[in-house]
Amino acid sequence: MRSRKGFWIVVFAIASIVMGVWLRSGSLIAISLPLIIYLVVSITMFRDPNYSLDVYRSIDESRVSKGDDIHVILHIQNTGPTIQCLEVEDVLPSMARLAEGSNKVIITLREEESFDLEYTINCPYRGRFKYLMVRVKARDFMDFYMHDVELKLVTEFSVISEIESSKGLKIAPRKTRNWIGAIKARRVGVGTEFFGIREYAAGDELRKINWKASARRDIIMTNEYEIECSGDVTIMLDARSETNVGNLDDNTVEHGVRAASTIASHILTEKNRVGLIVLRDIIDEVYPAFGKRQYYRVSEKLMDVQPGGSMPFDDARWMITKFFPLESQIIVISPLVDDKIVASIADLCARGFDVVVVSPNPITVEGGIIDPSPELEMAKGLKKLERENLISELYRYARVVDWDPSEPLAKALKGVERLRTRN
Amino acid sequence: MNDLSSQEEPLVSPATTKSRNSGMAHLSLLLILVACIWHLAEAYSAGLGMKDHISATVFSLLFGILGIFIILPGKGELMDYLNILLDRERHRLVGLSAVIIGGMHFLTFSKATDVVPMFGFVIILLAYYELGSLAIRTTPYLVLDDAGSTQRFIRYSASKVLVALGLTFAMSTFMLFISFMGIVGFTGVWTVLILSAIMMASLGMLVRGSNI
Repeated sequence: MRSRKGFWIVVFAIASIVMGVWLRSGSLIAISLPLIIYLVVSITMFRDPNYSLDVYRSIDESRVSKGDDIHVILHIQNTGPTIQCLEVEDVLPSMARLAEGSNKVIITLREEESFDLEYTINCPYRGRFKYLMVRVKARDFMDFYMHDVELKLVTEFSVISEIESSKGLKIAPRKTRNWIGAIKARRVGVGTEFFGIREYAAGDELRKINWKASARRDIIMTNEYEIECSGDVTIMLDARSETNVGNLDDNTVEHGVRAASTIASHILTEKNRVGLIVLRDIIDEVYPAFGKRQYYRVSEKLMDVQPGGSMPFDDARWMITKFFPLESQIIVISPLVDDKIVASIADLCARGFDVVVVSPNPITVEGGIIDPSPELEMAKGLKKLERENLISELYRYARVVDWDPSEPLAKALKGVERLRTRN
Repeated sequence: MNDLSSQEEPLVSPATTKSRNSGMAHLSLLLILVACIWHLAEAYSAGLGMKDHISATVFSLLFGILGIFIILPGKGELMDYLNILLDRERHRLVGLSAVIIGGMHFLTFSKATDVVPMFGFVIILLAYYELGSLAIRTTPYLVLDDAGSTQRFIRYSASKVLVALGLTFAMSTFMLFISFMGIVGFTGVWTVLILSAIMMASLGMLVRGSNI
C-alpha cells in the first residue's frame, strides 16, 4: 500500500511550477526539481516492503499464580525480501502488565533474518487470558509504502489465585473417615502416636510389647497406637453480588478466593478430601476427592469466580445436604453481609455438619478504599455493631473467624482450634 | 510540506513515553532552527519588513517543537485523551512548520537568481521533516528498548535518509546547471517545458502505481 507522501510531494512540486509561471520566477520553478528528484531517488532506493513473515509466540508457563511473571518470546522470521522498517507490537491481554522488557520493537529485517522479541508480563488478576494478535507495520525508510496488518496469533494462559503460606494453619475436620490420613482419630489402630496399653493378645507384634509395664504388672502388655485418618471438608464460597465489597483490586470475593485456595491446598496436603461449592450467578461444585488432581480441579473452578447473581444462600445449603458427604466439615467463606445466612448455617449444624465460618471483614476492606472522615468512622461503627451481632448469633452454631484480609490467613485461623474447645 | 507522510495513527502512542528526548529529535530541531535563521538573515539583508518574518518563523519553530517534543503535563483521562489527539497530529505539525517557513522563503525570494542555495534550503527542510518524523516514530520504542535494537535501527535509517537527500541535492544541482542551462543553454521557457514533462512522467508513474 502506498502512503500519501508521494502524492503530496508531487502536489508541492506542481504548486511551485504553477507559482513560478504565475510570478514569472525561474528560481521558483526550479524548486520543483529537488522535490521530483527526491521522489525518484526514494522510489529507486526504497522498495515496497512486500512482507512475508512467520511469527510465533512462546510462553514459559501457561498456568501461573497471581502476581507471578510469564516470560514471553515472540519469534519473527522474515521469509520474504528485506523489510526496511518493521514495527511490531505484541498486543497484551487486557489485564496483563508489562513487567520487564518491551512488547514493541522497530527493526530492519533482512531476507531470512529473524528476531526474538523477549519480554516479561505480570498478571495481577486471576482468570483466563488470551493473546489475540500481533500488530505489524512494514514500511520503507522514507515512508512511501506502508502495510498495516493485524496477525491473528492466539496464546492462552491462566492465572490462578495465590496460595498463602499455611505455616501454623490449624484447620482439620473433626469427624474422620476410615481412610488413612493425618488427623488423630481418637481410636486404636495403625499409627505412630501412643494411645494406651492393653494385655497381650496372640498375634501382637513383639516390638509393640511394653516391657516396663509388663514387668510392673507381671503380665505381658502391648502398646496401642492412635489411628490417623482423613476427613471430608467442603469449602463453600459466597461470591454473590451483594457480598462483593470493595474495588477491582481489593474486594471481599477476591480475598475469599484466596482463602478458599489456601485452605483447599492445606487440607489436601493433610490427605483429606476436599469439595467446593461456589455460590454466584450459578452454583459451581467440585465433589470431594483427594490429591493434587483435586487441587487442580478446585483451582480451575476458583479461577473462574466472578462476583454475580443473587441466589439465596439456602440453595447452597440444599446442595450440601443432598449431594455432599454427611457429617463433613463445612468451611463457609463469606463476608456475612446477608443475615439470612444464620438460618442456613443453623440448619447445617442441626444435620450434623461441623461448620466453620471464615469471614473476610468487609468493613476493613471498604475502610481501606474510602478516605477517612468523621462520617465514615460513624458508619464503620454502626456496621461493626451490626456485624458483631451477626457473628455472636452465629457463634451459637458454628466457629466464626473474623478475618482482616490484610493479615495472613494462618494467623486468623489459629483461633479456630481454641474456639473448638468452647463448643 | 504539510501532510507529507501517511497520517495513520501511530502504532505506539508517544504519549505513553516519559521522554521525547532523542538525538534524532534534537537534530531535526536544529535543522528547522537553521532554516529559520537562514530565512531571517536573508530577509534582513534584503531589507524586508522583519515583523512578519519573525512571527512566521516563531510559529514555524513552535509547531516543530510541539510536534516533536511536547507532551502535555498532568494526569487524568482528559490529559491522556489530549495527548493521544496530539500524537495523531504530530506528523502534521512537523509538516506544517516546514510548509510555513518554506512557503514564506520561496515566495519572498522568488525573484532571486541563485537557485543552488534554494535547493539547499529545500534539502534542509526535507531533512528536518524526515528526521523529525523518524524521531516521532522511534522515540517510544527507544524509551522502552533496553536491547539497543532501536538505536541501531535509527542510525541505519537516518544514514539512508541522509544519503537519499544528499543524492537529491547533488542531482538537482547537476541537472539544473549542467544539463539544462550550462551546456545546452536552454532558455527559461525550455526549462519550464522540460520540468513539466518530468512532472507529467512522475505523475504518470504515481497514478499507475506499479512501481511506486
